Amino acid sequence: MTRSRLTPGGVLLAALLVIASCGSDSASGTTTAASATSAASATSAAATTTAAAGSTAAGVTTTPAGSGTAPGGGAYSWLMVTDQAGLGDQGFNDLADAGIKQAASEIGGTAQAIESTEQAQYVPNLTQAVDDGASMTVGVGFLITDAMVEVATANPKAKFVMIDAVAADSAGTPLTNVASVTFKENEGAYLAGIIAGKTTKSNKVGFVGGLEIPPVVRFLKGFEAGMKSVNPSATLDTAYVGGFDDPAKTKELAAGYYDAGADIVFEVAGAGGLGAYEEAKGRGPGHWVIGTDTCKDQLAPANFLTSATKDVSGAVVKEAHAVADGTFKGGSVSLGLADNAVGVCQKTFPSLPADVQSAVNDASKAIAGGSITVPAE
Amino acid sequence: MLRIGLFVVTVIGALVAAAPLIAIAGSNPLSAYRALLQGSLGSRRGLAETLIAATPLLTCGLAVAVSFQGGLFNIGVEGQLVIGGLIAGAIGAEVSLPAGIHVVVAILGAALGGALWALVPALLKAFRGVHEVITTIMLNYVAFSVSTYLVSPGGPLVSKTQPSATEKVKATAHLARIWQPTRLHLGVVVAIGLCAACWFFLYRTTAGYRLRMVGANPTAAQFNGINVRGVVVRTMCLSGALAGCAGAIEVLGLHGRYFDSFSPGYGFDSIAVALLGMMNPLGVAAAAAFFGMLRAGSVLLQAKAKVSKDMVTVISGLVVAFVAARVVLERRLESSASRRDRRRRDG
Repeated sequence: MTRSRLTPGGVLLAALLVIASCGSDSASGTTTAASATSAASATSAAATTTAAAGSTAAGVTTTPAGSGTAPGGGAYSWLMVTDQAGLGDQGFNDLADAGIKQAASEIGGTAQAIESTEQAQYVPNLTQAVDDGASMTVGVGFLITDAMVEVATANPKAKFVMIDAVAADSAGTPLTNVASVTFKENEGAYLAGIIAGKTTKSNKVGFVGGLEIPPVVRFLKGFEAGMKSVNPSATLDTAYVGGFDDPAKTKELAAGYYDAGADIVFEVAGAGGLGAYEEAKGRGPGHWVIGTDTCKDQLAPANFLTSATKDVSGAVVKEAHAVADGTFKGGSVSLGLADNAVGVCQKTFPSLPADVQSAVNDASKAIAGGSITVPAE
Repeated sequence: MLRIGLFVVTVIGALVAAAPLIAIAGSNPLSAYRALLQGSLGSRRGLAETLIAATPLLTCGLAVAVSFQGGLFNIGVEGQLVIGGLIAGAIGAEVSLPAGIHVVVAILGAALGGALWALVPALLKAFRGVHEVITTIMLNYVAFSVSTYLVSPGGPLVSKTQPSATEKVKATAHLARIWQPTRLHLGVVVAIGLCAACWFFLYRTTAGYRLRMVGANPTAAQFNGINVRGVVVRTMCLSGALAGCAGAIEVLGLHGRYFDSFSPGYGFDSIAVALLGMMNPLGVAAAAAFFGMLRAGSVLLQAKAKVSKDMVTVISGLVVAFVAARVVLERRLESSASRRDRRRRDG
């Protein structure tokens, strides 16, 4: 008797677990779809070239081309290793992915992203990229730095690009086979801050960061300075999610700001930032969101104000061309407004009021020219 | 024998069930499995990476198995692991000790930290009857927030050059690499040693017998003169200590410093490992090796077979589903066996 009652219970448990696993499966499906859309929207040129071709032969790096045109069609292999947020973050992972795809279409060869799900996978993923004969391997995010240093030191002939951190040896000297690219996020955020300061009606603005790490702090400080420069009475509240992949928490924090009377939320929360758009969308027009890295207007067209952008894909494409031209140089470089590597979302910029546009343009020239120095910390 | 058979059936069942899903995702399941196998066992590096990936799963799986054998469900392994890793990282980076002693102190400190983190739920369970599932889950969040704070900017342990991490662990506290040029480290030996010790403890010592007896029937154990409260507290602390060790092994052997995000959820994954391993240390080792293969093979799965890394998560999920289904299968087998017995007796 007990047995016949227990068996359906076991079946139910099994069914629940199957449903649960299906749930996570469909969730991952959505992520892939999102990454596809954002990659397509981030670059116009890249859409056609994907990693459909077979993997390339070894020995690619020994024959650098004399010019930007590809010598042997599919000879180049552009690889990247994502950080834990993976593709679909609408941030630097997707941007770097768009960058290698654009490199493949402009220079030739194949592009492929290897996704990491945990800290322990950075070293094997980077090593796999080198073993596959990558012409250049892009590593994204500050968490991959140690792994990048380890693999780049073990493979001095391979070429790497490090985004958002500096890969340095134990003495602090940047490695010569890694192009370490960091951005002056504060300069782009300054411009976004001007837009926020001129747009806010309640004079209350909220900031949601992922983790309190240097790039995020640069966004915050630049934004605050920009906002205060045009609207000294506006106040900025700050809060951190504790990670870059938690939309629920981001949504909650954004809701808290709106409830407290803020009309603009600036999110620097990585893939988790999606939560802020969802919250704003639910509340309707007048609740603005300012994004990071890319234009995210498609997430909430009526609520998207602007983005403090970061041209990660442009930097990747530039390094790819340097590899193809034989002019690749390692070391550390920091890109800002003067390099046209940071800024605000150009797609929605023309729809802003004329006085806001001119204030942004003036500040942009002043920063690039050096007459305004934007605080970074 | 039956148990080995069930293990194999579960694993094969999950792999077969995942095949159509891989096909739907647009890849050839056979080439995907070939890539998995090649990536995990086909090369020196693959084999080393399999063992590296299996190490935290084995140690955490032991923590789950020990608590389960004692009738407790420790869901707090993840938090205890994080605390252990943090303590090992702090001792490794901030303290100066001679080589050899340093690494031992760091691991013991981590084990102690993990045990203390489990002590609160243990005492609440033993003396107030508070369910350990609730308290251990809640303490996970405390552990995550404490560790995040300690390595946040301005936090007391944060590195000067690396955000969200401690300084690098000193060379004296490193678990040595044992198979150059791979990154396989002594931690795998420590984990296997812990596995053997757990097996011996559970099945060859009086204390281990008491632990299992409390797990099987606490009332009967009490009436046989066993101090059930004491056993509950000790079991939970032992489980926490194993989890703390797992964190120390990762930090001292693999990462070389405590990263706030070093664990992708080993403590939670290890529940599946322990279930697949039927809560027996040797079974847990086999299960950890299998999950380690999946993780290590996922690199080639992406790079060569162009299959999404999420497919590995799908296979892991299916394994758990089949473990649950196995309970049903086991009952069928048992009931048919007992029916056969009865018929033989009656006839």
